[in-house]
Amino acid sequence: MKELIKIKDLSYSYNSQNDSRSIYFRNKEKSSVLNNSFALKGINMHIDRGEIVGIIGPSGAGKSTLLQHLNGLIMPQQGSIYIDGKSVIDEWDQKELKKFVGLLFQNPEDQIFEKFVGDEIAFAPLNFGFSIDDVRKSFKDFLEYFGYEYSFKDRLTYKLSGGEKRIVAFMSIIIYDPRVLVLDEPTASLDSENREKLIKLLEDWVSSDRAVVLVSHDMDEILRLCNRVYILNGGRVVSEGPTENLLFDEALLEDNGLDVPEIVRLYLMLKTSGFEKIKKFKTETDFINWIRELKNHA
Amino acid sequence: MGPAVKLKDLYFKYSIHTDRSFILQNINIELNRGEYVVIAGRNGSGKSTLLKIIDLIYPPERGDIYIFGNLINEKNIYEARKRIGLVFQNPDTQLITGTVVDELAFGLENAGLSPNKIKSIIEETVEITGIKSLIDRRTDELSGGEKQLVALASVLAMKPDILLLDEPFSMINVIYKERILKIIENFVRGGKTVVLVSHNLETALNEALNNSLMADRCIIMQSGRVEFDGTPASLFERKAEYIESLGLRAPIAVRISSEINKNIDRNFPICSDIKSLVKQLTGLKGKELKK
Ligand SMILES: Nc1ncnc2c1ncn2[C@@H]1O[C@H](COP(=O)(O)OP(=O)(O)OP(=O)(O)O)[C@@H](O)[C@H]1O
Ligand SMILES: Nc1ncnc2c1ncn2[C@@H]1O[C@H](COP(=O)(O)OP(=O)(O)OP(=O)(O)O)[C@@H](O)[C@H]1O
Ligand SMILES: [Mg+2]
Ligand SMILES: [Mg+2]
Repeated sequence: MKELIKIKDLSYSYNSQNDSRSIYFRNKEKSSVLNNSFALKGINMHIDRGEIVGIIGPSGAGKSTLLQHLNGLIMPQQGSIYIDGKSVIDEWDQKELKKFVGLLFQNPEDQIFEKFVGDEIAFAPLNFGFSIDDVRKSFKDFLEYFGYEYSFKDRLTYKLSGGEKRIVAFMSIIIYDPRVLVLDEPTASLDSENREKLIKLLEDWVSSDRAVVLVSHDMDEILRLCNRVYILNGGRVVSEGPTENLLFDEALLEDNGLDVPEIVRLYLMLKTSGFEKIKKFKTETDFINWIRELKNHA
Repeated sequence: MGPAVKLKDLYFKYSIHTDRSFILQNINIELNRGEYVVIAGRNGSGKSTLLKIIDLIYPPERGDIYIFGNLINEKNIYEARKRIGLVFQNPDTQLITGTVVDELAFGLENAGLSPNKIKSIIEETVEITGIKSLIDRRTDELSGGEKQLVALASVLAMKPDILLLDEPFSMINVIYKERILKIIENFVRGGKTVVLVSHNLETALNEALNNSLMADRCIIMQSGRVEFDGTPASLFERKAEYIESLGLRAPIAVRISSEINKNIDRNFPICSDIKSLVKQLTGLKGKELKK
């Protein structure tokens, strides 16, 4: 079976009961809270083995709400979700599901709850039955990969910088090697080196029986990592397709409040400056190679 | 009156009990009125700590802080604090549970403003930040980007003279980014001081969004010290390697032109923005075709 995740007609409402209105606006008409209360409206989606799929869209589009459905944190109210062929509602054991699908929260503070870094990272794998020796070994490997001393394990989690927290949150998921990684803005607030390390790690990690679902507002990152993207807006999927189609479509991106990737801006500007026949490039390396060709041809 | 902010020979660590060395060391920074300064640097290099020091949340271990020329002491710290607004890196630290309107009104009520005045300030703030559709919502029931915007709005409502922004773009898309940049621009035009911490030099220094706003200065932190303090132009005319050695990602035009300069054409100039890169490439093409 090709599909790891299948989502059918999924809708979700937070049922916001919002009547604690402030005195400053009490006599104004009620805002559109109620009409908008569906955070997801009829979502259909599939994630196949071996894929890195991007989910992009403006703030409030429903991305985080959707991701939290993928490991059972939020249960479908309407519609259904199948992971590895089994329904999340009644065919998955919830603990097994959380082991199968690792979810990185948008805000690391919502995820981190242990006092010490070491305990935070060891919590899930020990809970899922990994041996303490295995956990210690991969923990050391990940610390080394991200350039931290082993003593980092003794740091207090609430005294970390923003980027350090995000890396700790990421390590605490990747360490138990779930089959699907669901990542909500994994590189927000990471510096360029850590960002690069995380991207490389994902590229190496994904293989024919795994998948990554990635939410990011960084379109260059999406372009580089994802083979396919879904654009979410107002709780609906408004567009879906191969990354190199959607992320080169300036009008589509603009309509959905999304940035044009830097490399695409460069491409578009060259195209209108006498390089009509330039072909699409996804990475800077492709671009440099193209310049080299240009130079050699002349 | 002196500069908006002056930090002199400043040292800081979080707790006297820790054996760790200083988090900030030998900091000497002056921020002028009407100046827009971008701060960047590796994770853990001390950017957020520096903003909290300027916001007068923590006292330094050693060194002096002057706000608008006044040396900060126990007596004048409360007055000085009113002129400074910090938008935290994590909006949850800032937002107290309640509705968005309550959040915006909170500081204004504490400042003792009249209900009419509060109402008009809130309306104005909601307008410039574009969060009208969120005003009746509970702050703990917003999406990540919506929270960032509300946190910003609640600081703007206080009309600070010194605005400190800790990665306000980290979870938001271009429409909101443009809105925030517009707000920064108006602030700076009005003679106020804005400090922005960001990993994305391109957006921060901003030719990306065709915005006329360009940072006056950038300060790069490295392990708690100021490693670079100068204009964006003086940073970008260096090669990509230097910028990367500071743990930063050079803008795409700098990266690509450095690569061409290094491996393809030794005479190719380092370009700081996409427009000039395209111009150079067009030249390259013309030259090559004429040969
Ligand atoms: N706990 C909650 N209670 C009520 N409404 C919520 C809650 N969380 C989110 N919402 C609303 O649901 C909608 C979707 O939010 P969601 O967090 O999924 O958006 P998002 O696409 O992740 O946005 P962002 O890019 O800003 O993180 C938004 O309108 C948001 O205000
Ligand atoms: N409350 C605290 N107590 C003790 N140490 C802290 C505290 N907050 C931060 N630190 C440490 O101080 C150093 C600087 O942290 P700071 O938050 O200023 O970094 P930053 O440059 O903002 O990083 P980031 O880009 O990750 O947000 C880091 O090593 C961090 O672990
Ligand atoms: Mg979100
Ligand atoms: Mg920080």
